[in-house]
Amino acid sequence: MSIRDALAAGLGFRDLALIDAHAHVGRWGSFYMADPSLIQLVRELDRFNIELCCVTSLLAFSVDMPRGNDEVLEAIRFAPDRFLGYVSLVPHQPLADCRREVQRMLDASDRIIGLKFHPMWNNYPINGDLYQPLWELAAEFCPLVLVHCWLGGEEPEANNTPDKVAQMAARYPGVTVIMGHSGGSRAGQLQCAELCRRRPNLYMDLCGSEFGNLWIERLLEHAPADKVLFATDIPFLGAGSPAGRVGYAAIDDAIKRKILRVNMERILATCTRWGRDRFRSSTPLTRHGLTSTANQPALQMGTHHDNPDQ
Amino acid sequence: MKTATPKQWFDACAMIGGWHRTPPQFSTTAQLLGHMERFRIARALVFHSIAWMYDFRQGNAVLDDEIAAHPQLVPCYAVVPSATGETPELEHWDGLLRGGRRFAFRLFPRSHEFMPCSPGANRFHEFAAHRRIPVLVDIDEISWDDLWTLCRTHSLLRVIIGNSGTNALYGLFRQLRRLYEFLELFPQVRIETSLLCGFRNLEAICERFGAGRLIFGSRMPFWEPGSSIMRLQYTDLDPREKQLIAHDNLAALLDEVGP
Repeated sequence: MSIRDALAAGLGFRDLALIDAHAHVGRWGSFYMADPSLIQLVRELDRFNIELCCVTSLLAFSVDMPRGNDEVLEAIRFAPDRFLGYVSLVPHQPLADCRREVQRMLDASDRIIGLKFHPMWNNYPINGDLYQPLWELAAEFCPLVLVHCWLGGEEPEANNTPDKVAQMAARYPGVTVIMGHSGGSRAGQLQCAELCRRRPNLYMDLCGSEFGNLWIERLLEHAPADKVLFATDIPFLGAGSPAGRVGYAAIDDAIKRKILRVNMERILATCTRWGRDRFRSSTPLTRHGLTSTANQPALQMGTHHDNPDQ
Repeated sequence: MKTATPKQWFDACAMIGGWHRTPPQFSTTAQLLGHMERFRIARALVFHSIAWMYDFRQGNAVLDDEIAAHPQLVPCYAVVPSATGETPELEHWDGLLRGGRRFAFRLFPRSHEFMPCSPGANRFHEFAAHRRIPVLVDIDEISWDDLWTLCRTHSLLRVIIGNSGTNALYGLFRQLRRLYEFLELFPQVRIETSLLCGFRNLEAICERFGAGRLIFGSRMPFWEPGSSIMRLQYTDLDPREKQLIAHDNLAALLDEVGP
């Protein structure tokens, strides 16, 4: 049974455990969140068979970096088999504090997988001087960075445009960089797609990208399927949107599996000690019976026979 | 474990027609029907982009032509109730109702530059309320104050609040503090679900206000229906609640439309 047929039948992702590359713990002041407790987060993961959820703290990149990062550790303690954590770093904090924060978090849990930067909220360009030493920390300690990446719209786009993120990925080729939200807008997504094609260490995640009004089928005409990551942004957003966008899309199941799990599994296995230990039995692609199409056109659209727009 | 899936889907928000900026996923009626079949959406309330972005009268006429052969598509006519007298007389709509037609109205106060709570508009809303014709409006087309006045003034007007897919960064999921006030005070208000994509939004609203206040919408061709469908299908609601939101609430509203 295909992934789509299984979903339509109410069977969920029964044969595929998803990995969420970009989610959060905490709350957000500007709008109401209905009970974003850890219990509810885990229930949401269960609902969509999300085995692993990579979270960053909303509080940490808001106004309290250590307290917020502690919430990530709390999530890991709460459900140690479900959560992995990013350390959120704020460029306006003293570098010594940031360095100490990274070391503290890595010492506290082997499930800390990388760093998270939010240039929009912290109102500082991702390629600016204050971020530079934070990128160095990534290269030194945990070479996986998730960056809030958005082009246009209401956000101060100068700080976190795809090209600026890609500039840093080029400067730090040993660091794997995830462009959070795939640049958000349609133009942002197309830029991310092109940049992912060119830079081996660049990836793009799907959470919030529905706001660009670009359907997955069309996005994958531009983006390499090996570079697109499933992500939910819970508890900002629910997991249903990205899961439904990919799960119901008129694309091959092999591509869905890459997006929903395999691509992030490969990143974890490559960039993190925890991932190397967890996934060392074989490479992700071979374990899932897939072949790489990295930096290649994602889709042979002619094979997707049930898309009415073809 | 198997999740209960609604047996029928009735989409409250679909658009056909071209677009003046980067094209969305599709534009034609045939394509909409294809996607509805693919996603097993039995019926859809449809408006035409010409009625939104060019001329509402022409758009409504084109819509009628486009959907005439497709009874699963229910017209959602754009109206501009103002003192200019552009909107067809109330008798026109009554004639349609007497002929057995069922439809809804959609307001674009911002795009069409009219005052949604003016005396001229109120006369029209009064008519729609008494004929039980649902009125859809997106929050990026009307100010919260005007929406409040509209709902307070017309306590029988069946208002369905949505949000345009073209400005979704400020989607309904960020507006729950405002929406809860409307749901609390105005029982005739419903929320269309396409941009209600926040964490546990559907469950929270159902727990507080009941499943009768939510109406499934896909917002095709801007948004993928898989997004709205998945959110409702795999939500933590009982099967009856899902069915109400997916289909029955809107079907019941339209069944009650009449002269």
